[in-house]
Amino acid sequence: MSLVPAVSSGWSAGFANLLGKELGAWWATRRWVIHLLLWLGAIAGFILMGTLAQYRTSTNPAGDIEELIEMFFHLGGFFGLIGAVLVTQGAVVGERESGTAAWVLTKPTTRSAFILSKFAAIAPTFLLLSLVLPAVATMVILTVFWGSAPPLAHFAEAVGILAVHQTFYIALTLMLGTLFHSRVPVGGVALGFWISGFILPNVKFFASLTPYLPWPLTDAAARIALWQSLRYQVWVPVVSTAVLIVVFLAVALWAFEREEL
Amino acid sequence: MRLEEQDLVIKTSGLRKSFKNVNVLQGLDLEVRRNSIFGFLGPNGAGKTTTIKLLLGLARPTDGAATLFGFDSQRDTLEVRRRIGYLAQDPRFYDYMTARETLRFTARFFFQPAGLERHIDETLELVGLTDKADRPIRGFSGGERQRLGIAQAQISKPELLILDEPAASLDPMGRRDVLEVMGRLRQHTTIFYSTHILEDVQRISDTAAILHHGKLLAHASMGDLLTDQSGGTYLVDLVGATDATRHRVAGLPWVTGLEETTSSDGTHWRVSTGDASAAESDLLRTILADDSVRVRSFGRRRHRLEDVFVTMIEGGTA
Repeated sequence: MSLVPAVSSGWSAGFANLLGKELGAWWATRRWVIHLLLWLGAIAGFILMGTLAQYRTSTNPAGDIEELIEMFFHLGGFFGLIGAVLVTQGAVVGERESGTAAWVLTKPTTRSAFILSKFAAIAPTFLLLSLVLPAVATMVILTVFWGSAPPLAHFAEAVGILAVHQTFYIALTLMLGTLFHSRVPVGGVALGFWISGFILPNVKFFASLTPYLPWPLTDAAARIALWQSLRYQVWVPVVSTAVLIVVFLAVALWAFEREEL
Repeated sequence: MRLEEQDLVIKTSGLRKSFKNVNVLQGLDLEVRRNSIFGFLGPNGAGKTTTIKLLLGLARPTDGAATLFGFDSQRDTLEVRRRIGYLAQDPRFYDYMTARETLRFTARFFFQPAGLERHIDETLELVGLTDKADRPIRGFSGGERQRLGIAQAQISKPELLILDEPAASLDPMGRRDVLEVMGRLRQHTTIFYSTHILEDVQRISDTAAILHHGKLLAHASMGDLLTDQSGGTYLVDLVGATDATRHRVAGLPWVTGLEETTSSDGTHWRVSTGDASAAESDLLRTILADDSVRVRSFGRRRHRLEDVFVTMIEGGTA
């Protein structure tokens, strides 16, 4: 049987193959199992421990459930963004260091396909393992032990907002990987941006920018899940963060296109 | 060496590359003919890997241009990479993959899945990795990694193989295996490979270029490189009474020197000549005209590539 040439051209040449490879690095190895156990333990595990400590003796079940839901979003936001940075910081830097990037880019594929395949694999996989499945586990825990759970639509909307927050850090870290040649500045700048979210909103100039940045999204997600009022329209940071994600990816493509390997 | 454009697989014109004001490559003009095995020689730091990276589109030239199959290495890099296979000096793959998965991943850039598994099996057999096909690469030895590197480079049946120091890190057995595989592949493809192992080049290349400090010192067929260009030195082994013959040969107008040594197995002459064509047509005839001597061997002296290389590198000129 003679071989049939692959048909792809333009920026997407080799994209499907690269995406398959990136997804394989998660799903064809034990990596997904390790991450799933880690995230279930780190997020749903806390919810379960809180539940087991309170649900038999609680005098205010509604208040305790609210606390647990708030805990889910704050833990998810905190651990999730750290995980997003750690998982993504080696995606470009590691391949540049090991020489696999140079090897892959001698095949008929493009640098855009190389970067976008990483984003297209990491973002949904990481969000599924670190956010969606722990969220499902949390809903199950609340329903089984407390007999009550937040309205599914609100909870799903809040999880979606947190997903935008985590995706922002994935895109930011991916972009930094194309700009720096070592993991330290990549991870450092990304985590530094998150830490500055505790400081800069108190500075007059940055206070006005805060609603347009991802910093308020964790709190907004918790409030939406709890059906509480917000100080501002939640779509503002969601849309501006989504725009920033696109900008980061565009910068990553631009920078990597100029990279000499 | 000027070749017709359609015969050329690689052509570089004034290719230059500088890093932070250091000229790594200084106006390289190179032509690689179709179906040749082209040895790209030079000491470490000569600019060989930089040249290869420029050809592959992994780096951008400071000046000049390179075309492969008539396609510009920078502008038409996708078209170039559809036609080539590449093996890096220290090949790196995804360690969690097996050899088979690595070849499948590589092949899918070039081919649709139908019929691919059989092709992968054949390729694994070609490089002798069939029994290790399903083991993760992280456990591979240097030689096995190198053989996998050659397998992935040629799995697309490329028109051109670019190999960067393919045997540098291997033991003698590994080197022999790699050269054997290269020999088998030459029937189907052009091979451009960089090396500093001169013995390998002399063994399998038909053309070579010598690069030093980013400058091209020589670019010629192996025959031309290894042949004494000064008119020719001939080595003759004889038995019998050689005195009269020696006087007659030494008196020829185009003979510029004759050194004689003797040993238990006869007399050995080293005849230097100033006219290659006269020597070619008349030297042996002149010796054989004397019935008192018998010629056991006769031939024009060929240099070892190592001699040529060292002379050029130390002299710094072609």
